[in-house]
Amino acid sequence: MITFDDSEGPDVYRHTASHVMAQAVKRLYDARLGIGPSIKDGFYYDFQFEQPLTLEELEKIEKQMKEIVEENLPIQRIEMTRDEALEYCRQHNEDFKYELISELDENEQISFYRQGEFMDLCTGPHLASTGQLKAFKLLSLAGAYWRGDENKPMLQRIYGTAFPKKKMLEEYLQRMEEARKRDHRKIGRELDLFSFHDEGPGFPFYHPKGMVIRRELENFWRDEHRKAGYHEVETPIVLNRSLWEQSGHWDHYQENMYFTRIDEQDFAIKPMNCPGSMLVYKMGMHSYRDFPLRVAEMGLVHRHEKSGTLHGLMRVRSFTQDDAHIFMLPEQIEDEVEKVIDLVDHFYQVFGFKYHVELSTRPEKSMGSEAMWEKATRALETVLIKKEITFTVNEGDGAFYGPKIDFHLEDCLGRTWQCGTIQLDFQMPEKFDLTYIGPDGQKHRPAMIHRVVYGAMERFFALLIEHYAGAFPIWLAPVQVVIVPITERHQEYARAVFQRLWEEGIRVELDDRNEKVGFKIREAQVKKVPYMLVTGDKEEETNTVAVRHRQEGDLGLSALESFLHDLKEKIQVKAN
Amino acid sequence: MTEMTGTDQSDQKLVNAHIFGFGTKQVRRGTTIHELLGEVSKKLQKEALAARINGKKVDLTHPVD
Ligand SMILES: [Zn+2]
Ligand SMILES: [Zn+2]
Repeated sequence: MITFDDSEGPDVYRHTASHVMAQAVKRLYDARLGIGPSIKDGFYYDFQFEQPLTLEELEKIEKQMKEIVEENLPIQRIEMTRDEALEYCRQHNEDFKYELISELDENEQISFYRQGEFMDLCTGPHLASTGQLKAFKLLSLAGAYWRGDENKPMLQRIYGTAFPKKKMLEEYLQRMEEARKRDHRKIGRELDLFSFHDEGPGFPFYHPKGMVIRRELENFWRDEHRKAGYHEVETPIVLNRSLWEQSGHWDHYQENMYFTRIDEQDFAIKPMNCPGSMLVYKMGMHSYRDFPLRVAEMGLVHRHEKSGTLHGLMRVRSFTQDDAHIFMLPEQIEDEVEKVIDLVDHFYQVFGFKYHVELSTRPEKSMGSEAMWEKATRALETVLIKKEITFTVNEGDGAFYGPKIDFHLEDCLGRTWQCGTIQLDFQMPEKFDLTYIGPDGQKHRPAMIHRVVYGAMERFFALLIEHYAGAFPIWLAPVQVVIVPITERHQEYARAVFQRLWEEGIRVELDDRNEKVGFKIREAQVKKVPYMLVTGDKEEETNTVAVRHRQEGDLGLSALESFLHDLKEKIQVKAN
Repeated sequence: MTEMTGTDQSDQKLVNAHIFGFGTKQVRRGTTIHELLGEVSKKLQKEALAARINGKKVDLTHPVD
């Protein structure tokens, strides 16, 4: 049996909820039906309304839904031929459904579900009656193109969710509320970290404070990669069509790429850093003694995403990958994969992220032989087993050029995000005819790994914003210390304190506005500045500062030099 | 998830329905899954949202045949 606790249970339950919502909408408005599936955590239905719906009206629809539940209408499955189904949709002016059915095979049996006066094209299954729905809520309203196509009509999508118990719904709504408070788009605005503009949809603008965090993440990355034996390169963003044909992107990835023309030739904007990196490798002779060769690149890539799927910094059209390509002997693969896993683990620990690991195997659309895929997949699996890392297997979810290990971060709300990845690639070295000279003096083919730790800097940044709810650890905080003189007469000492911290490399601000101390402190709290230093007569006389921490509150007087010493140490160890 | 397998052609009127975890039950052909569950477990009948017969997802109003 499928109950709510099964993986498919919520789908059935919420899909019925979406039908009940559609029925309520049809009772209240002149509207045409689009599609209405269940989704993760809820459901939606797309409608074309005669008069655009406003957010306030969701309550009215919800009330009507409650009546339909009250009526406890039995839900029946009805089968029709394709012609009967088309006729039904024609009679009821359901143009969108008509379009869907007309694309089905002529001999197909088509199922509808009926509850009371309402009937909808649907494969099911559904609950036995509308009365089985217990707790539901309509959450939001959005625009959605019919079939996700910008050239088709814009419909209105109503999102909702449903649970078998009221308590479950309430808990869910609470979690949502917490997520809303932590939404990186909201915090990004409040803390002035980044923005988006109509002039560049999906292309992020970093503001000075956001840039500070970004650079700190990069500095940390460079330090750790230098220690781990990586060399850094940079390759161009715009490269000739022939390169993308050679790499396979032209055939396999074109719909995600942007193009331009230079001197009457086709060029593409790189969606990945790999082909550029291959050209760098090919510039020199390589000996087996140089291996493993770890070549890193913080590379800016562009990938086309449909406008409807863009989401703050989480889903963008241009982003920087903390890429690296590792060239090695086939027998070094396991060792290198292990080293990358250790590096990834170290990074995630610094930020306090929990994570889980997934191994993805050969997808349908792929290049290379069965034997190569088998070999590559076994190598990744062997390392995971050896390191006693529990992992799940995603059949068919690998990249088109090789199997991969993905790292999924868990944020404070229990949501998971794919960030790090290690992709084995036995194919690109073939395509680019990469070689090294072996101990036998002959040319051989190196093995290769693509890997990222942060993944996309933009997405990782967004994750950090939500993870810390904007209260970044001191090493990342855009402003680490604010100095608050009590009155104008204390400004000179405040300036001296500022100067001392500034010359030690602390990101410090002096709030010398003519405002009350309480006001300035509240404002610094809102900006999530880790430390506020209040300076007055007493502080000036004793060369001290009154320290206030954003979470711990007043910490009392501290000698300036000892405060500075502690602060630098906290930054040094990346304390949270 | 528990699943069920149907069906047995040996008798015209009766059919054996096996519900994973709850054993086999002989019921009249055409009995709905919802009715069948009522005879097996009231709790399961109350909690079930849909079913699978031989792997295919169906409604609880689907007859056992
Ligand atoms: Zn449906
Ligand atoms: Zn690559």
